[in-house]
Amino acid sequence: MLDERAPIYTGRRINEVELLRAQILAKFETLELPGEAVAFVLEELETGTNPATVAAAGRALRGTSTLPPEAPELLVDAIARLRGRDDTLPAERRRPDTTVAVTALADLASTLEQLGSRVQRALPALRALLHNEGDGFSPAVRATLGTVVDELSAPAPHPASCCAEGTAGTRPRTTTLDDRPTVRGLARLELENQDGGRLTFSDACGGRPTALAFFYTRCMNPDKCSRTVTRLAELAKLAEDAGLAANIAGISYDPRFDHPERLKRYGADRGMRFSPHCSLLRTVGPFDPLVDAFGLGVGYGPVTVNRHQVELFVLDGSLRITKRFERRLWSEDSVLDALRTAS
Amino acid sequence: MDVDRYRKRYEAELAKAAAPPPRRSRSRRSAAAVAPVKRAAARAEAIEAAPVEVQNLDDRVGELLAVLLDRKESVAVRSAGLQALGALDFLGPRFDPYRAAYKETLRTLATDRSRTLRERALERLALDKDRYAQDLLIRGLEHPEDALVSDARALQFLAYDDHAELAPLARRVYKRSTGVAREEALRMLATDPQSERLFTRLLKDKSEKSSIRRICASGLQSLNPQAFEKTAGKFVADDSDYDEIRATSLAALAHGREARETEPDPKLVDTAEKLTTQSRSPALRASSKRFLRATGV
Repeated sequence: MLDERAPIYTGRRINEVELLRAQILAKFETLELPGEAVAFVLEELETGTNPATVAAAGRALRGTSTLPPEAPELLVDAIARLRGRDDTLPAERRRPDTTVAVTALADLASTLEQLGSRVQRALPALRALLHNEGDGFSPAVRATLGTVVDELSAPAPHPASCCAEGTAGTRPRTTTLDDRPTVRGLARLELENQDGGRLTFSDACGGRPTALAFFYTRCMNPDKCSRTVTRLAELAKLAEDAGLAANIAGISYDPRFDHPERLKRYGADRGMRFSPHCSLLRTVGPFDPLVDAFGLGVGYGPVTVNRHQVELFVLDGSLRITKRFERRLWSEDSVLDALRTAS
Repeated sequence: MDVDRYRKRYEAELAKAAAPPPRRSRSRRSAAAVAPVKRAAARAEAIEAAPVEVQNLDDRVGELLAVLLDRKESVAVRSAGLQALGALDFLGPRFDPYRAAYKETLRTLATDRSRTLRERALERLALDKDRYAQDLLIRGLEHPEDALVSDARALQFLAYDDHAELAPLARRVYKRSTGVAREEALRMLATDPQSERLFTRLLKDKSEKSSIRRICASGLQSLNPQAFEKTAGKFVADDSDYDEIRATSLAALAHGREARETEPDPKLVDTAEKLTTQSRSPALRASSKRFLRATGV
């Protein structure tokens, strides 16, 4: 139900999709969070911008017996990110015994409070947030966060209470050497680069290891597509400095809108130095073959993308997928390492 | 911050200010009839002139939110309150603690009896891509009897979110509307790749208003620069067409050229060179020069 391609999201506007996802995520508050939903929750906390959906991801953690180790710090990150865009939660999410509106930040702070000592590892980040930006929170949110800091700062009655928390299932999905799916079927797929030049998928991604990310220029989430292309630019520089012969490419989810001029401006504004091995691309024909071959996490509304995950694939020179970075933000260094392994 | 407490305090002050004097003569009664208006104007002026004191922001925001929610208060005073809150919004992080209450108040105002307040509240919410406001605006376009603002304003506000994916609705409004609403519908369609043919057709249609064709020129240029270059090149050379259309097209072509490395059409370059010296339209001469600069001629 949380997968971007689930039929319930197809053809819906972004705001409708966010509302549905918020409702689904909030349901996990009273259920055990299933393992396959953990990555979606963490993704939302890391890059979500809709206050109600991010708060719902926080609520989903309240119902889990095994808290993902990175969850506490991601909760604090989410609070910091939403500080300037707090909003009241939809009426149906308010407590039945009150008409008082609850805001997303108050809800996230309450999640931290309810998780208690299980969020111990977030203490330094939370303390720094309150110290540096505490004035930016309402008195109620500030008070709750202050209580959390006080409680976490007190000597723990049960030492190492966090040791029982989970460790698996939250990292970007990786592929073992024995299980490398190939995308050779895409070899002749026709693409167009930022200069209007036509080439095949094989021309763009074959012959040497490739870091291939997906994006679209009218993405409104600065932590997703804009950051992805900025990091691709940085990755290209790092690869060049390291003497690593690799292709660095981004393909648009929105090929009808992202014409070459738009791709060129978008990339240049984010530091891309285009070359035959560093490019932004769009499909000339249908985009579906890419969705099917890579299993892309993207859904479409009436006109364009209504939701997508952050995703980057490392391919070897024979167009086999050697590593996937999905849902969570990737670092340039980890992709560089994967490129070295694939070369 | 307790908005209810401020509202009660404000209502008490209002009741005190509005209490009638104990005895009035006939001539004084007519003067009294205009007094509330004067008092409202003075209060509105006082709200607008009040300096922003960051150390008292909690009190100030609370008072202003209470003014906005007071339906008995005059539109002038509530508009002044809205204006003042809009100014406080520019404080950035200092205003963050109040942002949720502010948005919720705007949502209440979005269905106020006053058209002025409705429109201003909806615009501010739409700028924030607020789902509630977008839903209200969409409902008004789909069911005109429920419309809170005019079609043109609704489309303008919805267009603040170019992701609103309202192309199908914009197409329906385009077909049924005239005047400004039709233009706004076309502007909204400038992010919809399926509207390329519509823009091309309208751009070529000399019977269309110049304003419509200019919107289509920039829309087509945005959606498909190559198709625009092909279409626009023909009528830039057409002396019988409007100078302003030709100037807009040349400016858009120049803008497109700055990001491209392909060779420009030599006929278009010849035409632009002639226009720089022969056209009587300053706008057309300026656009021609810009186009030639962009092509490196």
